[in-house]
Amino acid sequence: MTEDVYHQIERYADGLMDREEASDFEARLAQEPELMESLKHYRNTRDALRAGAFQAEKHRIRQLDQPQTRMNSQMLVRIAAVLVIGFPILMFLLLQRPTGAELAEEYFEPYPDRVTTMAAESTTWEKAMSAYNREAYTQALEELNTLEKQRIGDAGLVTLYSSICLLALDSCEQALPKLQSLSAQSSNLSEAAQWYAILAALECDKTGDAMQMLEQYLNQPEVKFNRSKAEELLEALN
Amino acid sequence: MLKVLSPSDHQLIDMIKKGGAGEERAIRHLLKRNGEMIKTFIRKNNGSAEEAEEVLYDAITSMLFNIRSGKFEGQSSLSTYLFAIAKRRWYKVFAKRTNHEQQHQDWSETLEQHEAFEDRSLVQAETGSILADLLARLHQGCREVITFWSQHYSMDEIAKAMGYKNSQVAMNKKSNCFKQLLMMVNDNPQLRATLAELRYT
Repeated sequence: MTEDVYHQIERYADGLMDREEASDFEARLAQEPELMESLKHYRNTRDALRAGAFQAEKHRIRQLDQPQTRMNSQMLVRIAAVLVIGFPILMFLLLQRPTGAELAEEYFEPYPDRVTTMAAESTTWEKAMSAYNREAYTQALEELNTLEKQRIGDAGLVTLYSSICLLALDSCEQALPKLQSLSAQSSNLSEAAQWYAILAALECDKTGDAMQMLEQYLNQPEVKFNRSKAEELLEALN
Repeated sequence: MLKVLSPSDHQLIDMIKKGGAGEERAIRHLLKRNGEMIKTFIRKNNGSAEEAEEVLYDAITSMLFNIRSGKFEGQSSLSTYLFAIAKRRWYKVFAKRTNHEQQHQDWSETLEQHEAFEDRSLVQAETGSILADLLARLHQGCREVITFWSQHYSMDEIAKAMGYKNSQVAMNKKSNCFKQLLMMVNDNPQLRATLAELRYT
């Protein structure tokens, strides 16, 4: 199925065609059995997905309808159990290991702005960094993408800041390869890139990879950037 | 003492569209405000307590989907709309149970204006789990977009939730991701055949 045919099927099945376009498409459907088959395939998959979503939502609503008093009494029972059984369980709860994503969030701090001096936003770089400094990461990412396309400024810095924006926007899958590629280049940014790659791996629930990367990171004697944090993080993961 | 004000329909719609804890509060509020009335109606019309509960949850789910997708245009109050959906759903279940197809048809025609919602349930639950496995093979961004889409969120809401520039970006993403899913289903002839045989109630 070509891209064009797929988009036509999608637009028709999702009700995005106007009447005239839909009517033309229906005429084609009547004459092209393969097209009709592709449309059925689209609809069958979509409808099965949506039916699954319907059941999941219904289940959630059923749970929300459980009387609050029942929940409160359950909570009271839990509190009472903790009080009765005491300190060891409380300690167990307190010492429960956080998830990779929680650790990534805990250790994430945006890389400092090494580009601008918070001056007027006259260039794309300044606009990007101004947004970055305000933690407006979506906007910063857009500006950084423009810089990347126009090949303006230090390509390494653009990659680093855009990856950090992606990480902050929970798009670790996109951030991780960019950061790994930057880490592999021997530049003054590779330390920082390695650190954020570790956080991206954690965010993506690739804890094993993150630990391996952390060990490699700490095995480099010259590494200074966030060294103590990295040691602390490795200990938390162990 | 502060008076606790009930949220307006407009506020409830907003809470549902935004999702999260606000949406849960809105759902609880709607259940509290309308649940008993709907269940009583069904019980008085030959339904059991269990059937009344099922229909209520089906109706709320349909309403959520229609609010998210923008199919609900606010031409009636939320309570009226929910009640109409529940009534229609009950007539459908009742007609099926008693095999009074003609009666069902008459009621359906009367309530045609509320046709917009989709009240479907999977006949074969295992297909849902196969689809979930396929979804799990997509990368996280794709999985999220397709999940939002299957939950009937509008492209605007998906764009907001995913941090995309606009709804067109969300639309393109959904399009590419769903195409990937279709290709995976296509590579699994047995699943493709099962999906083709599924019927929704």
